[in-house]
Amino acid sequence: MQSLALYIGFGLVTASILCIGAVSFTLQFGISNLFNLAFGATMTAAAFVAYVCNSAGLDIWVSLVLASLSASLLSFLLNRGIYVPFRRRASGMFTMIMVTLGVGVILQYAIEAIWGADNFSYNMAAGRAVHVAGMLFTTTQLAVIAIAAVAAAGVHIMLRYTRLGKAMRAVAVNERLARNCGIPVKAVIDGTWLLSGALCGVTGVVLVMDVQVLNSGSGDDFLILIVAATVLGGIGSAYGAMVGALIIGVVSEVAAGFINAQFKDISAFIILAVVLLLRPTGVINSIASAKEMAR
Amino acid sequence: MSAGPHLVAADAPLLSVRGISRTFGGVHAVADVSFSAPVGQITGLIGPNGAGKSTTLGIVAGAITPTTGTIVFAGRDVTKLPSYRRARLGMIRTFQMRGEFDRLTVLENLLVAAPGQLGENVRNIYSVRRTWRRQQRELIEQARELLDQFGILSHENVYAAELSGGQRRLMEFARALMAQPRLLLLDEPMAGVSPTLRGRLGEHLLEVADSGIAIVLVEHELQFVEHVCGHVLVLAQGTVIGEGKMSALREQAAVLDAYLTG
Amino acid sequence: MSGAWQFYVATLIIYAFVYIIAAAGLNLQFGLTGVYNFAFIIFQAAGAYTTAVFSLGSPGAFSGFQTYILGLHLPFPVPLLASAVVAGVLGVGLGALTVRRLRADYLAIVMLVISLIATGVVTDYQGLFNGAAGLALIPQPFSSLTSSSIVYDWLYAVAAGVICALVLLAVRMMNESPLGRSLRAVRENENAAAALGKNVTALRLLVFGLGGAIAGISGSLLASFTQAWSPSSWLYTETFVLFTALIVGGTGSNLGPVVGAVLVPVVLAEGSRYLPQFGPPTLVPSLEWITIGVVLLAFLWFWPRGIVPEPRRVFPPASSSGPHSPPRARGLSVKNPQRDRGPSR
Repeated sequence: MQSLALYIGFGLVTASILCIGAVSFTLQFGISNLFNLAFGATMTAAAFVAYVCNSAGLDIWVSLVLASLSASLLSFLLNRGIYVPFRRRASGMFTMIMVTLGVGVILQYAIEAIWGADNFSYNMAAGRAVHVAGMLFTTTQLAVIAIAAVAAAGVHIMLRYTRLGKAMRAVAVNERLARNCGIPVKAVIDGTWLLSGALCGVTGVVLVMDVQVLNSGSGDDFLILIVAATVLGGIGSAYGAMVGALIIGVVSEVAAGFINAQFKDISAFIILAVVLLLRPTGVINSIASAKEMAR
Repeated sequence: MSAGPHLVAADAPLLSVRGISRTFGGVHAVADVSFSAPVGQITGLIGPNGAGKSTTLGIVAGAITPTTGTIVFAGRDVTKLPSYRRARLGMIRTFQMRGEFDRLTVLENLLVAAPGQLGENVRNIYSVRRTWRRQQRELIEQARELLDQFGILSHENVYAAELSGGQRRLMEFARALMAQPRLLLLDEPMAGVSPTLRGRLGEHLLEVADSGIAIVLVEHELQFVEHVCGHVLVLAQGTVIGEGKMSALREQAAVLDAYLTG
Repeated sequence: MSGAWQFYVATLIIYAFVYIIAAAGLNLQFGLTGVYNFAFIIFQAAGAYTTAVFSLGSPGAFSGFQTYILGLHLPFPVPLLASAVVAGVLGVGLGALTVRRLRADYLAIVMLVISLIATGVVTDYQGLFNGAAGLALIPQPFSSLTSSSIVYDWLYAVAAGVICALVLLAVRMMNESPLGRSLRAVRENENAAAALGKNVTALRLLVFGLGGAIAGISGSLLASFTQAWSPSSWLYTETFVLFTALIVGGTGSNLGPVVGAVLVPVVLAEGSRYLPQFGPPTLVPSLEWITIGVVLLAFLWFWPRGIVPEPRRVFPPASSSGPHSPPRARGLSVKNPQRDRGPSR
């Protein structure tokens, strides 16, 4: 069917954005055992940094890099400044949810206090339309897919072949053991937040590039999809996040196309609720099972 | 004095565990373990770390489902019963670690354990107020008596989280008794307890057993086990490798091996 | 007092009572029993919608202006009672999810997502409760009592206050009873509670049902007063505000929800309406939200037990007069082992 291919195409774009976000979100969960519900607001902050740079005349791709760097710094500071102190106090899981929600609220409304509730958009060329196998993309969207592919490959290489990556995996599975093995845990955690923060920033900016609308709620609207993708794939697993992103991205767009636009979100919510209730460890079992039932 | 349970045949033990096994991901945590715990006796479960003692206790108590086997308590097959139902039948267990209600006072910890409280029923709270209050006053008296016997009455208003390790053990023990048990399943009750206190608790245990209660005790402290347990089972790697009086078991080669090689 | 000022104060008082009732319901679930019901707001919404469709007349009368189910045009107190029942049943249904024993933050996310699904469903299916536009012109109970709307508002405030007091009293009686103690035991250590004979699942379902019913009552009162209710009244952020109110006021205590409800939703949100507007229209609300976020973090860090923490329950020492049970022999004895010692019927 022609429209199916079309929706799958949309799905691939959404999946790409989701991929970057889900991998980042899951890295944060893996390293700090924390659902960072301020992730959406961080994405929005990065998107606004890009907007400021872009409005000042910088090319959107340069703005993307600057935004990514600022999100990296912001995420690092939030972790060191707020999350770690609370965790050090042996705060429970629920307290941490409230903490990240609180941080998210502060971020989001700080943005709104500065820029108001209006909609903005980037100063960029939408790009030519490109037809590929019945799917329709703009060149921007193809670039986004490319960025996602590069990010996914990069994370894969890092986790598997670099010392930092292996150290991250070790710390994610068992922090105490990793420390006893001589791994500089604090540095690894910092590095993970810097890296995932950068990816978070990229997610925020490419999201706005795709939907072409920016407001103070942009990141949060997308956050649930990211959570759905990470949980589906098995929270804590970067590969699971990639798979989850693909599934959620395509399914939600196809559902939106064939049923109605609202179903884009609802289908993701339903998948998320079902997975959490029936199989919280997700589709790909790894770190999730170790952390899942630990209360 | 013995308040024997009514529904059991005169010679059948209160607790009868037959052929229970439990695998965790391919590993046999417990394999074909059988034993009985009659009223008035303290049955010990000993063995090196990882032998499956706590798992066995957990299976009997209903916290862990066995892969095979049956558990008969007071003439009734309880294998499928959830743990809270077993507790209501009189099977009371204590925990090796963290069994307290941290932000409840010591007295409240004991009150929670008392069975058959009228005030736990929603209707009763709003109608028959005086009756549940009267019952509660009586329960408070009972609880205070128990606390006094264990020497922690002065701590009745202290949050359980603020107690020392030894005091927690005492409280848990008192709490278990408050639950009017017919069978006590004690998981390392002497862990972290000073030798003098251990002696006193041992005496309490013997008194409790004498008053008509069956006790199953998981312990590491072998001298203590020898002092209080009438019958002992040795577990190693999930199976029973020896059974009988502690003094006899001390001599058995298999038992010594197990402890040395773990 | 000038007319406008009176309207404002009466409205604020009614909102305060509504929030206090909602906070008390959440406190039963969260403070007392340790259940992280992040979908709490949908129970208030269920109560509001139920009251709406029970008191509104047949939808046909609106000829398309708004569409909804039912429309029974029943007088007070039927809609209020129906709200409590519907929300309570919904609560029990949702409570069944907690049987799954998820980690606290997983559960919070499940609940949050369910809240979002509920919003999505109600918004999409016009026929249910008129979708995104919501319901309006909900009849007020006893509206014919007086022709003066300010007198009506004051009377409503008094009635809301009475209902609030009754709810608080009922919750307090539960808190201080052995049932309340068992709930706290479940919160502290559910395995130990089960090992002492508590049916943890049944207890959780009970507080989900009761807490839900209480939330339903608060929704009913609010919808009947404002005469309108739409999805924007029950965004998931409302649950966040209520949890913040409890954390600030104090979880687990009887006075905590009152203090928290007055300080957080009422003062921070409604009270600032009274501040002079400065800057663009979104600035003051944004600052309100930032304040709530900062207050939340500050309390979680410095005063996690809240302003009125859960009190330590101390029982009076044995009095020399008063009913005595017969003196017991020293020694540890077993008294009348009964066959089944669950809570007495």
